[in-house]
Amino acid sequence: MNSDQVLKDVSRIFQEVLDDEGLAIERQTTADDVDDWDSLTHIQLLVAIEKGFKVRFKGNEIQGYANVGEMCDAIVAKLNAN
Amino acid sequence: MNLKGDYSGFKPIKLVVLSWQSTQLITQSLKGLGFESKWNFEIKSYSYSEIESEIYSQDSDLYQFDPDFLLVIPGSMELQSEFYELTTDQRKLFAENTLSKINEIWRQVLANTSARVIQTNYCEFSDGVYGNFGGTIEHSLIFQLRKLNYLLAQSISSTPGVFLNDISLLQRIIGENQSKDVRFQTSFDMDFNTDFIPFFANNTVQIMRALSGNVNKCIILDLDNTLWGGVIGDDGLEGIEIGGHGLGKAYLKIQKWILELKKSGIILAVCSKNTESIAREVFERHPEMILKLQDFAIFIANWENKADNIRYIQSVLNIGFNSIVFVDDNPVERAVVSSDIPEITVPDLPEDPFEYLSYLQSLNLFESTSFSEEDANRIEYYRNEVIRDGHKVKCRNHDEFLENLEMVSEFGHFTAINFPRIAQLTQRSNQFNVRTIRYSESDIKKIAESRDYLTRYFRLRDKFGDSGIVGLFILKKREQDMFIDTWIMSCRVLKRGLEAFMLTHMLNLAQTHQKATLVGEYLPTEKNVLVKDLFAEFGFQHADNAWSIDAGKLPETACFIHPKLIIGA
Repeated sequence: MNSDQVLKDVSRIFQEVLDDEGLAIERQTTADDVDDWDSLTHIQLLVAIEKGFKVRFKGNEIQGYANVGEMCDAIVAKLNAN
Repeated sequence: MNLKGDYSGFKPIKLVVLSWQSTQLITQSLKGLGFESKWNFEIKSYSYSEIESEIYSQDSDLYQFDPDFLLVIPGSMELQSEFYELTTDQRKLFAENTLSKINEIWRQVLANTSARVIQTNYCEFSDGVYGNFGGTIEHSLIFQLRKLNYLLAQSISSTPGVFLNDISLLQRIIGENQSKDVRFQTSFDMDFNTDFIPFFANNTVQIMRALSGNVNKCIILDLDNTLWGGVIGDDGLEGIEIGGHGLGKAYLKIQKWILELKKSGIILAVCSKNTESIAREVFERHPEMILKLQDFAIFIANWENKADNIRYIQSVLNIGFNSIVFVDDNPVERAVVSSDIPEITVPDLPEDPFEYLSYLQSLNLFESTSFSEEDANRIEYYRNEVIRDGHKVKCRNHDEFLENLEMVSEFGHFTAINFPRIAQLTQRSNQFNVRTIRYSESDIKKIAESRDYLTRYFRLRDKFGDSGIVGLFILKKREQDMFIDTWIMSCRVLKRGLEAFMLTHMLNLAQTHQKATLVGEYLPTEKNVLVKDLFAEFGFQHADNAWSIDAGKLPETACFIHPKLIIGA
């Protein structure tokens, strides 16, 4: 799975967790760009992504990534390491 | 999660959360669960650093908010850091000292609000420093946490108005490792992971529902393959499986549990498709049976539709369908009953009878908030009620029936020994309840001690038995008149003349306190339509949403209750 495919699945998870079908997520999206992306939904997003991809973020990583792209790259790296 | 659902029209419930850990996910989960109970939670959260200023200032936000419930949630991270700061000697007193801080919060909250306090207990975790040995040395973390939970439970049991949220138990059921995520705990101060939080919230809401009067009061049981293995009509007394080994032992455990429910005050009833004499014979003659005929308030065994039989049981017991649990091994019967009577709780039993009991126990069907002597004897009243019914037929008219009952009512003002039962009646009575104001034990104590209120409880006994405290009223002295703040009667004693007996006492009290008028108010709920016309029937006049009557106008109906004054009046 490459970063683009991961982005697609990540977008879908964002839409489900934030309950917003029209939400557009790009590689450069950050929490500041999405209204409902607060610390509360951040945790729910991480848990949904971990369950969806069957990966586990490290303690440092759950603090957050610079943007969605960086998160997708990290997921790809974890998937490849499996 | 129903966070985007329509909460308009739902009952507003004001909740304050005092917490030593992050609460955002917990409050969100509570709000979502509220939807199912038709509650619209309005929640204010305070972290531990804000608690002191909120509870010690009379005009704090918290007190202005005037919550219905106050939920206290400890946090392991903060607790552990505090513990590690202490010397070995101080650690030995950690449980006592932590408890006294919690006690102080309760004291302030109970004195300044009418909120019921729901106290979450502590997660019992080990820091692994001493291994198993840690459980035996007083200054270890695990020793003190266990002690703290024990002391906390003891303290709650002697503090009216405070209730236990047993998260330590819930965490043991789910498993510590399944209930937390060390990454979130370290970074975000969350003791619980996102899988466990819904369990936490559900457990909390169940307590609030029970405190609001939503409790199950009765369990209706099928017989064949539910209380024993096999079909009595086909297999006979020797063929059914109860007692001994294997399957019979599983049924023995179920019966023992049901007997414990009875002792806790749950009404037992039977509803079975069977020939009555054959079904009864099992209880009378099978030596292994734990449950006996006299454990049941009503025993229905026939070939009629079960939903109809359950409707009959409900009408005799005079309790709401939503306080009844129906247990049947047969999925078809379950479907018939739950589609016909949607309010009733019908557990979907697992296929294997060995698993029935643990499944039923896992549902927490019998959450309760009080226990009184009346609870333990409840079956007796209902059994006597059936005898009274039979006696009724022999009397020529209702008056003669009442006279023959030889009723005596003991009454008096609320006293400490009765506070639990009185609070319980205000919390549980739904039908004969004109205003449905729920009071905690601490509220009742305040009212009993206040000069602004007059209170009376009423017991009723007759030649068939003692019904215990079955009625009460609270009168509020107002400048112009005497106001009926609360008037409650158990439906078990409906149509015995106790209503008129109680009203006579209200009128007399109004006169004694120089009030010319007694004023009542009917606040309609889904369940109290029974008393909609109560005031009109007794000659109260309706004006401005209130009912009033001249305090000198005593009820005209004949009274067959002999008074027995106990205290005060």
